[in-house]
Amino acid sequence: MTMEHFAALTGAQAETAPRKAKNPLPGFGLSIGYTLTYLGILVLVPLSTIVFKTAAMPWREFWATISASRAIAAYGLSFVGALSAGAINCIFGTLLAWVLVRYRFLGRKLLDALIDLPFAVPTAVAGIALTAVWGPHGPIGEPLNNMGVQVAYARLGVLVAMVFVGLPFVVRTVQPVLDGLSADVEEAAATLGAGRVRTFFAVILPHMAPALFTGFALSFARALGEYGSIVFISGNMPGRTEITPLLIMTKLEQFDYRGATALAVVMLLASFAVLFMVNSIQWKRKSHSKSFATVPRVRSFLKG
Amino acid sequence: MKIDVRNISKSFGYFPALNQVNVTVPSGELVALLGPSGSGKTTLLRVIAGLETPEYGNVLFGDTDVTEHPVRSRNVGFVFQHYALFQHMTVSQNIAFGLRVRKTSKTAAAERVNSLISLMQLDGLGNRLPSELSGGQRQRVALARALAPEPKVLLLDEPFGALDARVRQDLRRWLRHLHDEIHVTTVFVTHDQEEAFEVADQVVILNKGAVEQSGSPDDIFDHPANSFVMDFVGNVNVLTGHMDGYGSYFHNLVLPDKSPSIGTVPAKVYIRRQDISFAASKDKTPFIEGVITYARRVGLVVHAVFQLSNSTTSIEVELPFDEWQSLGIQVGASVVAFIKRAQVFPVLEQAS
Repeated sequence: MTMEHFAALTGAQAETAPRKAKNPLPGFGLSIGYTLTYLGILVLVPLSTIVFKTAAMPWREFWATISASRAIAAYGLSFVGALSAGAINCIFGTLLAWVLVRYRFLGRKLLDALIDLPFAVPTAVAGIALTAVWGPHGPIGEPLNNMGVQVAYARLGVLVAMVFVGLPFVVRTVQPVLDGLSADVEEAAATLGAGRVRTFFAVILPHMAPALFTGFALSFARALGEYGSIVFISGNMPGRTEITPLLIMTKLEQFDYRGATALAVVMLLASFAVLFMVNSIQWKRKSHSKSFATVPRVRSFLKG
Repeated sequence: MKIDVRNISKSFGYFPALNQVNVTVPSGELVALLGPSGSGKTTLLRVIAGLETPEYGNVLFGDTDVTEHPVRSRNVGFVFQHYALFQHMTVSQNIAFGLRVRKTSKTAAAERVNSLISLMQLDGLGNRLPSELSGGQRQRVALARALAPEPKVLLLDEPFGALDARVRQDLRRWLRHLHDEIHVTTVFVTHDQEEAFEVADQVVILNKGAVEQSGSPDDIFDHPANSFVMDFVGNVNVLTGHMDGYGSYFHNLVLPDKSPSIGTVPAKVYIRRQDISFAASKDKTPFIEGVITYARRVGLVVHAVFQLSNSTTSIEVELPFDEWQSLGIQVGASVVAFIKRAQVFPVLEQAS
């Protein structure tokens, strides 16, 4: 093609507007419209009423409510408890997911189904059961009590309940990722001279990290909002084993609606901050490493 | 480092993957394990690496019996079919992994990584992640990673299997070239006979967990040990004939191969597609007569089907386009065919 031909072609093309690319998926406008409406009705409107209600409160009264020593003790227990529960679930949830993905044994399916029970059991039932087991006369609580460790009616009891309700989140987020990690990556590490510990920390853990972060965030959020099971096991001693949701409930029972919403706002902002932090760590990781390509599992003997 | 595989047997459940396999890989050579799927070639490679534990037999590196050594202390470089790169690490980090494990000093490791990056023609890609590379580049990273700790032996499992034809061809030549430069004892697995023949010094043909033949590519091509090898190597016509103590016979042809047995036995006659040529006249002997029933030009060659007269037997033929054109043959034409080379095996052996 000579230059003249080429010029003529582009000249003709320039007269008409270029064709727009068509996306086979439903339109962005429609889907974001639905999403925002849905989120608005379900999440934003109820939560914003809390903020509006609190906004009617004089600043000094607000500050006095949220900085009362009983309230501060409750935040401390709630946040430290929920963060620890998230961390504990990360360790043991990963272990559980590992066992479920990697090994084939009798009762594996049953164990797999058992994981979801903390989701399904009404929290009050869970609370009563946990108290019965970990209480001073329970099968686990009694020997521990004899050793001088009190679980039920102490802060430790709050942690136990929080770990219980948050367990499924880490297992269910990590499980599919482990499942997708092909064995040859681990074998590659082994041929390069890496031992098992090194392979886990250098190869498997980084691969699981995004799922682990998500599991942690979910487990943390669930523990922070948990109420039903904790009130049974904690003993609810103000300043010692009283969690923030319970303190809010107490204020409601005393018809102190403004006080209750003030505490709710603190919880809301603090948990938003924590979740935002966890997500931004994820974003950083994602921008650093693009989505992981899944490698098909290879069974050597089938291939020959 | 010489590799000696002695009497290795390995089964998966009731499936015998390897049955008393013996293979010797001379130091510094490039050997291909060739066989159809399920022949045990990958299992054999994994046994050499230590990724599979054989039930019986021994693996020796040089004079050391490494059968009981774990994978990580065998010092092998292994390249997987699907690369198995560490997705969260950059190209440089991937290559450096084996060096970091061995606690090589940072400067020495960086130097080694840089030299491998240029050797593998990956210049400028050191900071990329595997997901940002093409298939051919990924496989070169996998190779660099395997070579970084200076392994005693290099093992490649269908290294080019997941790549498209063109890239495969390039990488194949390049691997041969690389091997000529670094001379590390190399074993690679493939199901592609062309690949094995083009790259390897020695080819080991496996079938159903046993070695059918091992030797140089020329040796295997010119002197196939049995009918399986003949059938597997090259595009062959399998025809029925018979043989006795004097010669072997196919249609009206007499071929020089003799049966070691006394009396007449049925035989399989193997004729490669390229070992048949046509002529318009009957000036050469021995010849067979027939009709061209199909012909199609594929680039520089013509694929044709030749049907014997007074018979339903068809023979596939591949000949250069020039030759085809100069003969001026059309589909439907009666022609005379000459058989340049044939291999005959008695059918008794086929029963195995």
